Amino acid sequence: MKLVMLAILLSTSAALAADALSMADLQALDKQGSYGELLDKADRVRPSERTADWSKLVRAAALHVLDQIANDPGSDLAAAAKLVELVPAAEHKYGFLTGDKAYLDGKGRALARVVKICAQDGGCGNFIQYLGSGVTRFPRGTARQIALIVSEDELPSRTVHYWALAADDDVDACQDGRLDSAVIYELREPPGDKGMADAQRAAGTCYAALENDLVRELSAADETARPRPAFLINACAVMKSHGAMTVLKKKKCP
Amino acid sequence: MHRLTLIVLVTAGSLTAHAGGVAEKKQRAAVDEAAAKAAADIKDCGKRFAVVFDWKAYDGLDWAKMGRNKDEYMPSEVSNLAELGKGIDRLCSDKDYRAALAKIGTIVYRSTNDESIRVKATITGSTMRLDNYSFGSTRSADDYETAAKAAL
Repeated sequence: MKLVMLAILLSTSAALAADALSMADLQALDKQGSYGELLDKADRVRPSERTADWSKLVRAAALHVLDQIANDPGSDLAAAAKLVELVPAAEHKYGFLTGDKAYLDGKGRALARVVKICAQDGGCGNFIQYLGSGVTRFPRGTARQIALIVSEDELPSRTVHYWALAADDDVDACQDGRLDSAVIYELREPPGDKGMADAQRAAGTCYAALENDLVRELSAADETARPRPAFLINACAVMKSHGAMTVLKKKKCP
Repeated sequence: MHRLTLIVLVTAGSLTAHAGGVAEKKQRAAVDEAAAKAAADIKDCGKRFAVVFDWKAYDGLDWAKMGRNKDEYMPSEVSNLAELGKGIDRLCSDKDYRAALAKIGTIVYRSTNDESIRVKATITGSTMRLDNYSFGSTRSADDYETAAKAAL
């Protein structure tokens, strides 16, 4: 039995060694413009050889592939399929991509094509939410479309990231009642919650449109309760810096 | 024959215009009455307020551009005014609001076509102006109370 295990291990190591790629291989793929293949195989470079140049090649390849998807003259559906094939695998293999601004911006551009399909057919809010993770910039108008799509499938607080981006794009989004709900719901969550910065930014951007609902909610919150209600902590941070210091703000946001 | 037809038409036209004028006057009086009632509804602040309907703003709306008839919306303004006094009166039970309202003498209700608001209060000197988007749902006491809280 031990011998069998050893044989398997040896054969696996041999196979891995045979499959290993060098940096020169990756550079060749880059020169050939075989960005998809490069992205697929870059993890076969031995960890000890994964230098800053390796990361650079991976980043550049990912961006090229995303740009190809964004600009592909083919159908939006084909673009969506390519995106599904690329994004989860690439982000799983090369975790550093999820923190790379250029990559995330590229993902935002590519995602805009998928959004077009979803806006027509609906039912892909969760999918968009998953693919769009980490993106903070979309082509103008896309964030609002995503917010609308995601609002069909998600709780209001889970949509606040897209609503905040939509309001950054165009303050007209502030008039949408779904943005209002997303912000208010998120402001009720514990401080430091994932979407809090987005909710507070949107509350500031859309202050005039949301003011009455913020005031209503602030008014209903019990300032004597301990622990202090999350809404008071989260909303006061915004409300104190917008408009006059009213009777209500003095009472609830000392 | 032609002269007779013309006289008949002119007379009929005048009668119609006159009838419209009376109806309009009645509707305007009903709006002013609703404003007066709103003022009477503010009972617990220990003082009297004047509630004024801003006719200049109402008449100044671009009704033709909106494709709406000015006369048809007066009854809905009566409904909008119905809860104004109750909304403001709710604030009087709180001493801080009562103190803030002590500086206010006149409450002006102003119709707007600004879709970006429901009711928005602005305070200038001793006047609190309540701008209302007049083409949305009928306003409740809560709408006025909240708007005033945002400004006081």
